[in-house]
Amino acid sequence: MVHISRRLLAPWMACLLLAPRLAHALEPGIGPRSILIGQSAAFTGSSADLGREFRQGAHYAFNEVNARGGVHGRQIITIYRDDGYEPKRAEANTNKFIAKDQVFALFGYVGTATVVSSLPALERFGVPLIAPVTGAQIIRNPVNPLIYNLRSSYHREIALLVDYLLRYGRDAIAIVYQDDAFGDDVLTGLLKSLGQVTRRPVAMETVQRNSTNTEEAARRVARSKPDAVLLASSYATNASFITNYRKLDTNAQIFNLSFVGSNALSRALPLHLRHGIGVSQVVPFPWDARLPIVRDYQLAMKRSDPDAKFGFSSLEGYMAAQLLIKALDQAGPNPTRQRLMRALDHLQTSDIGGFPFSTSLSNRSGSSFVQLTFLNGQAGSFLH
Amino acid sequence: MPSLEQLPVGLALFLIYSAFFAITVAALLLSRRFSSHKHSILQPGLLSPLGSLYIFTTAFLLSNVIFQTNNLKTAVTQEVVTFSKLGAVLNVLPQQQRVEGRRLLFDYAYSITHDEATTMKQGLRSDASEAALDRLREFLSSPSAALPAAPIITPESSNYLRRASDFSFDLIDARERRLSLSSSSNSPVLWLSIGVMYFTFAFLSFSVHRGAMTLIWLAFILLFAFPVPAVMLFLYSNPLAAGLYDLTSQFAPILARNM
Repeated sequence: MVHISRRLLAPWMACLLLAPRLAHALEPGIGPRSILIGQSAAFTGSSADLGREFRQGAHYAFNEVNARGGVHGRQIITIYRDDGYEPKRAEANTNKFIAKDQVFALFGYVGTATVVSSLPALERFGVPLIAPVTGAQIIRNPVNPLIYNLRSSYHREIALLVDYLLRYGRDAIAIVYQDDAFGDDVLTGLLKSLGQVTRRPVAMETVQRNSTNTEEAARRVARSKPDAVLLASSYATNASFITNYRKLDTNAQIFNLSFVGSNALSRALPLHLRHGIGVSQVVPFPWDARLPIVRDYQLAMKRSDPDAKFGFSSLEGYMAAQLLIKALDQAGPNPTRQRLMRALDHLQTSDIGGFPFSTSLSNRSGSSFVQLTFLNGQAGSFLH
Repeated sequence: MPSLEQLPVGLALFLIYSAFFAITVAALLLSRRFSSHKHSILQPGLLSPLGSLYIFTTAFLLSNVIFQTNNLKTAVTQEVVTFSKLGAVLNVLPQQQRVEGRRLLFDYAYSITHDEATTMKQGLRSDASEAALDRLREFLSSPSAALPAAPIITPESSNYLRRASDFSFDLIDARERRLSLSSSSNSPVLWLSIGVMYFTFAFLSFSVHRGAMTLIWLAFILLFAFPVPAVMLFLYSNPLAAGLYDLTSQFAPILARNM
């Protein structure tokens, strides 16, 4: 009898003991000692710095937590795939992450069009995307249950810019926007903000993504004699526009959105054109160590590379990584995608090192933090 | 006709040396004519007091312009400090006001390094800097530079208005001091007096010496040594144009600072 019972019980006992491990084995991207995360962004081409700087900042955070033993004993391993800021490549990368690499979650995708093109794959397999580098409404409204934003929206950035420009007497505002989902979102935001004060842009010109062919747009904008020009593209395109625009002997205030890649823009601009270029930002000032998250970021950077230069994109990467680490920690020792998303939803109104943001089932707006900065002098420094 | 300080430094130095050369040749020719008339009443003993007079006069003038250059350096340092202080004081303003204030402040600093630093070499003011300073003053005199109705009182915000006011007027003072101290102290009367003293000394030197080789060597020595204080006087009279003092590098640290 006993013998029979043992023979019957043994498989059940084995199942009970192995159940959690089997469950992990079935959960993509979760290994006994690792958590696999995927990031698709531009690492080469004319927008390469957008991805590189964000990845650098995230690296510092992941390296630190891994050095301390990881999250619940698991090391965070990140796989990077280059999409060159092209939607089709981002879509292909996402499919590879899910089908081939079997990642647990996706993280830090850079760009609106790239995120939009990856949405079908995310939704088909239920893979969460944490802290994408886009402020577009399309991933905020209506709420996409798989996307968790950290940064503020472009519409908030634009509202702040318009408020600032009108306050200081720059009424004639022109816009040069990328001919894709990002540009459309920014144009909508500008029309909305100006519409509230019954105004319209004095010029609306498009440029192509990853293009430096901006002479015609510069000429047309110059003809409209604006007081300010809002640029909605990445750093290489914007630097090209600014150079062409200034050649036309114009002095309108130029503003860029946070997505531009502030440090990269500064590097891409000729020295004599740097001073006074405005950039709206969605992260705290990277040189202001009064905020704990900035202090941690600075320390992490200096520990890893004493010569590293602080920047807005790398700080965003660091903060995004901290959000992911926090959520993974709260997902517990046996993480699943559902547990990760539940942990993120339960963060509600929270903060990362003093940087407030909110995320819940009904609200994925991320942070509402926006601020204005200006390039100062020729050394690539910023005023805020 | 442009004055000496409005010419490129190299050309101005060439003209100074040419003038000394011309005076030396004139003194030599006149001394030959003088000695041919057998009027040998001049004694070598006169050389010492004449040389001393030349040296003392030029040294006195030189010490004055070096002192003025040092004052200019101090004034510029003080101006840079005032920029930093005003930039820091604006920190207590709400975000949009703060960034506008700092933008205008550092636009002015930038215009000094890129416009006024150039015009000052010709002893001129810069219209661009004037306009940038006016825009900053306009901002500081507007409600935009005022604290919100119910500010949080901190050590910085409690004295904000007084400090911002002091520093903005200090900026005006500093600019005037900088422009005044950097304006060239070259005076035609001074140059004429140096020229007359040199001519007298050279004439006496040539008159009390004999022999072609001796006179040639004497001319060389005079031309090597005596223009030096005059050249130094010219360079220190306008240290910006001479490249002895770089205004841009003084402002570079505040323009390279993330604030």
